[in-house]
Amino acid sequence: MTNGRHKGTIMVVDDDQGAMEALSDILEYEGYQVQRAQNGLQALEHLQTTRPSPDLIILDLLMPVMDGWEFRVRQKEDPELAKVPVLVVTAIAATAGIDAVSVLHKPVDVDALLRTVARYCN
Amino acid sequence: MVRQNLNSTAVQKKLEAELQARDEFFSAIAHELRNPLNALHLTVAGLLRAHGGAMPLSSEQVVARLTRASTQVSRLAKLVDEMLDVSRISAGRLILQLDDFDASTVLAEVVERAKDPANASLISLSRPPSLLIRCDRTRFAQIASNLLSNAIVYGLQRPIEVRLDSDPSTIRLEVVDHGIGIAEADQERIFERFVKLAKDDANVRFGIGLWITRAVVRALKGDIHVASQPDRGSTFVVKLPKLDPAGTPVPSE
Repeated sequence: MTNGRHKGTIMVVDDDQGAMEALSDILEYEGYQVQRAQNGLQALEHLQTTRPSPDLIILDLLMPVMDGWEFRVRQKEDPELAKVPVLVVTAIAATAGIDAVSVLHKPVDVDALLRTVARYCN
Repeated sequence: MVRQNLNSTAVQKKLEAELQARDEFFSAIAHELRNPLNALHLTVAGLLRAHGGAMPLSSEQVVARLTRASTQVSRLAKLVDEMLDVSRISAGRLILQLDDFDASTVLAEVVERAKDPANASLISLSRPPSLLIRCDRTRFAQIASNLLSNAIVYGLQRPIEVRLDSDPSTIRLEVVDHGIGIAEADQERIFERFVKLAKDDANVRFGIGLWITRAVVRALKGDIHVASQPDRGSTFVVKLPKLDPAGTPVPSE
């Protein structure tokens, strides 16, 4: 179900299945294509094997296997992947040290999220 | 006098450590609450946006999303119940409601509720056709549900066996997984309050569920043990005394 036009591709990285499904529903309804990963490692593997890269990555921080901080370090080691902007969405207050175009806190302000998404995907 | 001072310093240090652990626990709980809250919020926001949008959702899509919202409400309710249990157990105010019921049926219901499309074929249940016991029905279900959800989380998508049987004096519940297992040094600690086992701070998870489970088992005059090997899996065994309808233990033969 989309509003018809394809606006861009977003990767959502979150280990919380409920949040992942609900966020994907909203983004797909708005016309974006969504790629899903449950942790940083899955995201990295998907990004390394899939071209073109997404327009934006929406990244959770606290995740098993590989968290958001380590994902950012690894992402920046790859010149091609380093270009993809990252929007952090997290349940924790202490986000110092994370390098992102924007940081939103859970529960997420959907309008603010879609404004940021639109800025990088249109 | 010197010894008294030493003791009071040790007591103070212990209290400070307990207080810090409690503060960390509440901050972790707040974080745990934010995840289902966020998922619920996004689900409702998605429904509202679609309702006001150009392309309405089909009734099947609406039902699917409402079902997910309901799952998040259950997650929130479970976390709130856990917080209340922590407070009740800490204050020694856990109240049991003994009742006669079929433990085999209650266990089958718990197992059915825990199943989802990803794990349904992994979970097997071995139980007698019926097992009438006197116990607290809700707490019995809670014990089984906590152990089973741990087995699912740490079971690496491998088979899980749930078994129920009894002898004349004891009811025995066993939950076996073949997942990540628990290092020997951690096997007692997993039952402690406010314990964190993850190595790095970013992945702090508080295993309050097992502390609650053990407290409930003990309130029911039973005991709980774990046998585990890293990378081989864990077996949790709960033994509860069989009570006669008057609520007193059945003498063993």
